Amino acid sequence: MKAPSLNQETFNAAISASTQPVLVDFWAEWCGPCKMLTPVLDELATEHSGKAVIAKVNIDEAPELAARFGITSIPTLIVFKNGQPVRTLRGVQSKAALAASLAAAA
Amino acid sequence: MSLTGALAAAILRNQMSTTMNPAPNLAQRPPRSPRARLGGYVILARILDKGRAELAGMAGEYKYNNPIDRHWFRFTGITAAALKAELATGKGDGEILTWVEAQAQPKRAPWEIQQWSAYHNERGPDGDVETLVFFTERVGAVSKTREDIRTWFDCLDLDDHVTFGGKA
Repeated sequence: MKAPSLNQETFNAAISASTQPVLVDFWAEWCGPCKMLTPVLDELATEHSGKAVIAKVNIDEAPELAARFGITSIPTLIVFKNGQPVRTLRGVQSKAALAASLAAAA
Repeated sequence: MSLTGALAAAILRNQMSTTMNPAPNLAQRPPRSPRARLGGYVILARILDKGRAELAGMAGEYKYNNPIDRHWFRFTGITAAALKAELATGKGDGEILTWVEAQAQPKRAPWEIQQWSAYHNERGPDGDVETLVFFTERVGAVSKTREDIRTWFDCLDLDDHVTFGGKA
């Protein structure tokens, strides 16, 4: 399952409407490590279907969101719970580390 | 020519030599390496050399706004035509950089420029089979033994070196 893409218009509704933890990957086309992370996030989205939401924000398409969350390197992954950021992870992460972050926020 | 006329011509020549940025002759030497940085951006210095050379009719085999250049244009939101028009005014690298920083959309933070440049510095042919074949053939055209050539910048640097008489 591909992680859906969020933008300035869809972000707030997607984050605040979810009762499940939401993992958001801030990325860009010109980021090599982000590309390494893509299949990991797609796997995670499949395995956590119904338990968590995995989404992506392209910072070139949504620079306001990158500024709002103080992104200063990519990939940056933020776990949201009840619409609030509860954990930030910077750099490439293993699937296990991401799953653990989601479990901690559940 | 009168003494006054000769003096005026000399003054004009002197003014032009100090205000116009001379174009490199890319039939005689390569443009700067894509790795050369200007304002933190890779690729930009090379683009400027090719743009100036093209304006002066001295670009040789080099193409301004080629596929690698377009990565920089996309990242900054500046068009190839707009940059070329700015180069035509004769500005130097520092003045062009000031103009780029004013024009770029979206405005890029230093970390974005640094990370974008680092990505391109290490970027190899990571696309489809056709891209891999193109890369292999391009390297193979200049060397059958240089297995260390892994990135697009490696390939361009090697091609520049060999084109102007270097041994691969």
